[in-house]
Amino acid sequence: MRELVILYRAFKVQWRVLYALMMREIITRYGRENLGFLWLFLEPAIFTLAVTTLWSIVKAGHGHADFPIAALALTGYTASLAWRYGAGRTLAAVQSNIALLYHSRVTVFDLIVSRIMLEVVGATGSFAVLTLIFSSVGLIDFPHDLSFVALGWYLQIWFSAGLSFLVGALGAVYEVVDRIWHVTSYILFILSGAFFLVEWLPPAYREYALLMPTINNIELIRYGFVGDAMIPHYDIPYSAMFNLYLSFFALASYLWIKNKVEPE
Amino acid sequence: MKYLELIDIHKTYSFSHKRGHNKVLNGVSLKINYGDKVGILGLNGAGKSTLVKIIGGIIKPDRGEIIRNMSISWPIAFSGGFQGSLTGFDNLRFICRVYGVSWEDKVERVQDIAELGDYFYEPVKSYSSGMRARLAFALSAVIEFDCYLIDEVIAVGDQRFKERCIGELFYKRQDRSYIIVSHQPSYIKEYCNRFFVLSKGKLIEFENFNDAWSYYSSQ
Repeated sequence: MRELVILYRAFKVQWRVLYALMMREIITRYGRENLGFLWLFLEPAIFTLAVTTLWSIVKAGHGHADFPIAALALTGYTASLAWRYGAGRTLAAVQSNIALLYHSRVTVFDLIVSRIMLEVVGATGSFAVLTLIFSSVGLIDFPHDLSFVALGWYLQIWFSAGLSFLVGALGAVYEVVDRIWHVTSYILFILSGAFFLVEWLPPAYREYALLMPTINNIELIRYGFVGDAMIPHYDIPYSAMFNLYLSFFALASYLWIKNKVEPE
Repeated sequence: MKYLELIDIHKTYSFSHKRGHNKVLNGVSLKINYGDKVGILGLNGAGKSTLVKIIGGIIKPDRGEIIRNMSISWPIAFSGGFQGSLTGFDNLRFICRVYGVSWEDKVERVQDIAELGDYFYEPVKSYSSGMRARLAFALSAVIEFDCYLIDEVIAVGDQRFKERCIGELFYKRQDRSYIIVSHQPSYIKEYCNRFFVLSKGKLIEFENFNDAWSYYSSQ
């Protein structure tokens, strides 16, 4: 019983610290007066509209059938928000909040996790709101099967959290991570499956494409959106196992760096 | 009985530009009972801030044990404890949330102690060092602790601020403990009842201020 009370108190303090940090982040991230918050929705919206417009111009010459390009652009872009922004934000999480480590309740773990939570909520909110808006104006059809969307999104968020945590933990101590990340994130974005379907690849390359966990996740999300308008390729256990290993690796990195960060 | 105990604390920092390391704390032991007013004198670089950070639980010693049987404040210093791109007001809200107290009723009190006026709603990075010291002190004054850790910060304020510090800490909270580390004697002499010198990685206790001071100034 006593242990339970201690555990309960520890959770309460943990949540309090994460809440305080998220509120602190919201101030600088979304600002008091700038468009930060709105931008979370505007960015993927602009991307989706631009791709759809370009596609309809190209399509005019090629005569593709009613391919659901808006749905593919929206899912690809929003599914990449959490890991791209997540890792971008966690990289600076410790350095820009290092003074807050003066409060012994605030740990490096909290600094990283609070930023991840905020990005996950932001990306998911942006995805859900834009899906509703776009489907209500008829730009896309409402998702055909939400269970595929939810499963794909869940795996993608898990991947994003794991990757962001890893990058944030190592980046807190090793400056070189920042430089490596900028290059890596571009390559990763291109390879992530945000811009193509596995079906578009030559059959011989498809199994290699599925080595990239995000491709599996995005295929699932897209299949949930457009149903039989595409032929999906995915491997759910592989994606889940990848996430599990990534999470272990991220936590191990945290244990490695956690005593190496000291406020001035 | 509330107390704080440090047992054989060691802390070493490696140099980044060459081989070797600097033994900052080399076997420091200390026991403080609730109500003790501790003054620690140390030259610049003697490891005062390192010691304070270890007591505050911000950094871990390489070796040794710390028993915290009373609540201990964060180190009240010029920087640290608050975030520069946030305003004083935002920092107040952050700290209140972390320590689980309401902030709504603390604004007036903090403004009263820190006297920041409109600057309270400006980012901390635009503050002068005196203003930072006042904010640091005012923020710590709204959260109750058994023991306050004070790293030099009182020394910079002007006379008016010093009087406020004295009022808040040394009179309103005279039952509490505090640990003041400084390279200057002023507050330690007047408001402490236990006197230490931190030198060459060791913490030495003296019977009275004069003995501590003569040892300290003969270094």
